[in-house]
Amino acid sequence: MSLEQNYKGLYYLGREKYSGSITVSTHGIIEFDDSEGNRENISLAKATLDLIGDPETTLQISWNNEAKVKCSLLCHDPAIFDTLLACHLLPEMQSQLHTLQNKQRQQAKSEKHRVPLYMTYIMVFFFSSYFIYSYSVPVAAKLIPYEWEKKIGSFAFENYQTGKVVIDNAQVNSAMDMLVKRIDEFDGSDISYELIVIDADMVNAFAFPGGYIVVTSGLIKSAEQAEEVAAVLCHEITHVLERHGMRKLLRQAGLGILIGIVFGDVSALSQLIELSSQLDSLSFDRSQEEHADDGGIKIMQAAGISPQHMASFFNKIKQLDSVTGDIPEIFRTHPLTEDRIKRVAAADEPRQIVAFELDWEKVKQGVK
Amino acid sequence: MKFNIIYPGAFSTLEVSLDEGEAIKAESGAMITMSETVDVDSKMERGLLGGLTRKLLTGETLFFQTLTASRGQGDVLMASAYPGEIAILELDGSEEYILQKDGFLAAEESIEISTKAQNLTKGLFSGEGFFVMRVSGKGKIAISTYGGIHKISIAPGETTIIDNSHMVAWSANANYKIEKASKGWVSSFTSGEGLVCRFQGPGDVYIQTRNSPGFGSWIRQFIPTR
Repeated sequence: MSLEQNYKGLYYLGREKYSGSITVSTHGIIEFDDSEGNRENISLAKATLDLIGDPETTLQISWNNEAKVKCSLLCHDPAIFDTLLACHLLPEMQSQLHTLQNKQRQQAKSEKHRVPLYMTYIMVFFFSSYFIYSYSVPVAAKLIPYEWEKKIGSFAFENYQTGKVVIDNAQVNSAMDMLVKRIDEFDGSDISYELIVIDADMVNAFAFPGGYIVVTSGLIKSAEQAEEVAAVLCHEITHVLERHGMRKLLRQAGLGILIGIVFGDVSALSQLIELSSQLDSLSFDRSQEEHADDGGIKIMQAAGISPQHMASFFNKIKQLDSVTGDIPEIFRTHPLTEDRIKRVAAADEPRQIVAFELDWEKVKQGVK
Repeated sequence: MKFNIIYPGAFSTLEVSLDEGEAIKAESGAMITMSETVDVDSKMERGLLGGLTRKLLTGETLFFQTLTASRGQGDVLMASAYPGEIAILELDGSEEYILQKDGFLAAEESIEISTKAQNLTKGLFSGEGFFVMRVSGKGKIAISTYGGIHKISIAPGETTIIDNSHMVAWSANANYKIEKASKGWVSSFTSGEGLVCRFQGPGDVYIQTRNSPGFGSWIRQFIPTR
């Protein structure tokens, strides 16, 4: 007697596969279409049952035929379990079917939830790595040995100079030496600075990690006094002392390099060097700029230079900016805000002002 | 609807003849030519979430294109972006297939495509990534590969070993495990095979005779660095 319940299934005779319908009878006899389309049957009692596939949700009924060829019937319709359980089967067979049915349900359920679960994992991973990343950058910047920083800076500095004209004028050089020397004396660190003036009309100055400073001839031309250039240098030098350049490099570098640094992997150095060529175009964030202003003011106060020179230079650039409509290079990477100007203008004057003994007009002539 | 492969071999192209009212879905950008009776439309299979999931997870396109012969019989030519063979699978509803992410080219409308997440070991080491496509339903589906396509039929209880990154499509009934290529870890890696996939039958596995990551690393040595 047949339960008249048909299921779509596959019949495997060795490697040969036939698709057809599977019918279950009350006494656990299963009918199926054979290779020639004739109906054949197999008793459940003679077969082995298991779940296969990915996920393991397909019921496999397998046996060896008379020719000792492995045969199996596959059905992935979960309803087949209920039909099989309704048959008159031995208690052991019933309990095995129950176990398989429960396993099948579990597998199907976990498969259903797997994609959303993975999506959640991925999101959690990205969010947590973003937070770890933003907190680990300052830590990693501190972990970088000073020799690494010097190497990276010198590479970027050399790289930057290719294709650019470095101004080599005695007047300019001695003036810049004088400024750097004064600042170096009062910056509270052992770092020695190297400065070049490049021939470029844009108003710009920046420092690479390790104390390598670039000033454009445009900046010198736009400054009315040596003190204004000194103010810019004090600001840039603070970026070096606070290792802001290293931080922006690390932010650009990615988690892999960060991990490398934490574990002292030397290959991280070469990767950082490669990245350092982008240093002059990466911008600092607002808090780094404010730190650099504050640090610059401190150096200026110690070195006997009035912070008002920094404020006046900022204002001048701002006006220049409103006339031409262009943002000067220096503020593309160092965003200037009203707040910054106000903070600088409100800074205390040094106890004693020591003027630079220079003929600034002559220096300006030197860069023309 | 007729699926026909023209120019078999490296530059296999799929030709689909559609009767009026018939439609197929295809990988976006796969269409080369089509009759004027055919309308092309884009559709997010399984809605926005399904489309986004597929885009984010399997790297497949957000939209599938639907080509409908709305004004009479029409033909469409399609191919994937890379050289390789195309194979046609006929699904009758009794079996589901799993496709690697670049494997799908086109399918009849009745075929359902969803994202399947593989487990951790498979995701990391199978070379197919964490997310693959699961195709089910009744109808024809065209799969494309990089290299030639070879079908391996595995008998019940039989196992076969396939190098990772070579699988294109496999029946969902045929589960596989990741294992090392030889007994020892050292010899597994020094043999150049590393990890392999051991498939357990019954089921069919379509493999590609070349793998794109392998080709990528081979060709890299000829690309001037600067």
